[in-house]
Amino acid sequence: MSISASEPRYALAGTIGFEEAQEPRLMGGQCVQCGVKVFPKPKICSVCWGVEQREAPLATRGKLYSFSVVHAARKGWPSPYAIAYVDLEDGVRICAPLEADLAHLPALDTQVELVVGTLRTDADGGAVLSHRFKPLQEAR
Amino acid sequence: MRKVAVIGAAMGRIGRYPELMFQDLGWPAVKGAIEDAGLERNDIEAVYCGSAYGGRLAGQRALRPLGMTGIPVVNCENACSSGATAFREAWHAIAAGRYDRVLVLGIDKLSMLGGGVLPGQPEDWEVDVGLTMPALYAMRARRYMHDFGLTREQLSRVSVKARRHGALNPYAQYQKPVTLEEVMAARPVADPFGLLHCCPTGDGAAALVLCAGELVAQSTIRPVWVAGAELTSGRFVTGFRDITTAEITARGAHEIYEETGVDPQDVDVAEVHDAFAIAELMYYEALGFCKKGEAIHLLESGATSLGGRIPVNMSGGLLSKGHPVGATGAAQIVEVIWQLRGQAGARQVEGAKVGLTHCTGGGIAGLDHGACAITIFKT
Ligand SMILES: [Zn+2]
Repeated sequence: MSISASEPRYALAGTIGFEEAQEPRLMGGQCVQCGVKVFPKPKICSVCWGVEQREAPLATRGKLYSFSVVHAARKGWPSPYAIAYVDLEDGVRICAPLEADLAHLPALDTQVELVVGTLRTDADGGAVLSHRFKPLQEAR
Repeated sequence: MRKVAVIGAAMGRIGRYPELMFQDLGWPAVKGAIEDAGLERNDIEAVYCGSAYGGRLAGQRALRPLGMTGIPVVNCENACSSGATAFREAWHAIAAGRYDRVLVLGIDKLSMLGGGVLPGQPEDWEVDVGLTMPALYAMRARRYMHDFGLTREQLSRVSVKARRHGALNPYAQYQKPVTLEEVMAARPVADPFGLLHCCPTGDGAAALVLCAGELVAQSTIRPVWVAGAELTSGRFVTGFRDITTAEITARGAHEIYEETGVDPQDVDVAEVHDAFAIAELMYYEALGFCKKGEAIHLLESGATSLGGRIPVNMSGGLLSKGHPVGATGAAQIVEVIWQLRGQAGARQVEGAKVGLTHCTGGGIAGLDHGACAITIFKT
């Protein structure tokens, strides 16, 4: 019943894909009929009722719309942790853990980029992974 | 549509009562409202019960100890708006001619869930990556502070105001005023919120008796008329949206002002859904009490305090009176009925003739909120 270390567990199944260069991508859905992108991929398009949805890698960069540092977490969640809304370059808003130094919090509208990392530890002690965003390091 | 009046109102003090059974939390409010109306239990033709966490048959369980059985009981769940949804359905049932006298009960016992943050909605992906309800409002607050220059100290004045009025309300969970320093220094919950920027969880029940207009003359009590009761749900937006605007509330407010002909300037007293400090400010704007970005000036001017132009949350609001989720809408209505009858004691708004209640909530990814219910009353 145990999940081997080589098979990562994701908080949201099927949302992380890897490109050829092994760079992670956040996978959403795009409606084949009307083109709207939604995360996570739905079974039906809420705009046009199209049921054909293609897997769509979403933009890996966006702007930090808002965030909060959560101190009062639900049971089983390590705290404090930062949670954010990120507005991706392709028009999709994502709720995501924010990977940032909690002593030096970023300003809103800071550019952020996708990373994949540990969200929390499940009851068996295994890591649960998810998409996260971190402030973009300016090229030096 | 027939005219409808509220002729009975009652509630118990909101608090944490883990030792009380759910049914024993509920029946005193029901009995109180029927006695307040000068009626007997057999006069009630149907019951609408709002509860968010009460489980199956919440209404029947609360009514059984009173022997109020064998009549239609409709149980309504709409998160924070459950009690107000029950009220709206009861009002409509009488207005449409189905019944003449109906009872509304709002009830929840959150102490059953233990303490701390309420459980998130299962299968909600935002919850699965760590979103909590305080964090959602904290994000609204942070964006609002960024966009409109609101400071954390100003935000804290909302809590000070709530607790100042709650101290005048014997039905409030918290009846002790707090200082600005205490609000600022309280332990962090979801930055920028500390504990006193967030409403407590609690247990409570509130009940109302509604009556068809043509039968009101038979009542001994001065009626308060239902001008309108509006219910709406959140719109699903797939892209970006401005979370500093309470879209569902603004839309609901627009609809009820149109429907009733009441202007926001006409409102003498209001109970709004201040589950978190930022919420009260956002709802001043969404309900048309002031322009966008100006809510803190309205509060700081004293306009929304006792003695001001538009007193808001004289009960102490959710921040001080408490928030037994499914009971809240009914408890807000009880407060406004008391205000319009001149029975609100030390927190009475002198000469109040038009009252408004507003509750909204229920987090669902992609929606402002699940539900929003707004009601307007006139003497
Ligand atoms: Zn579509």
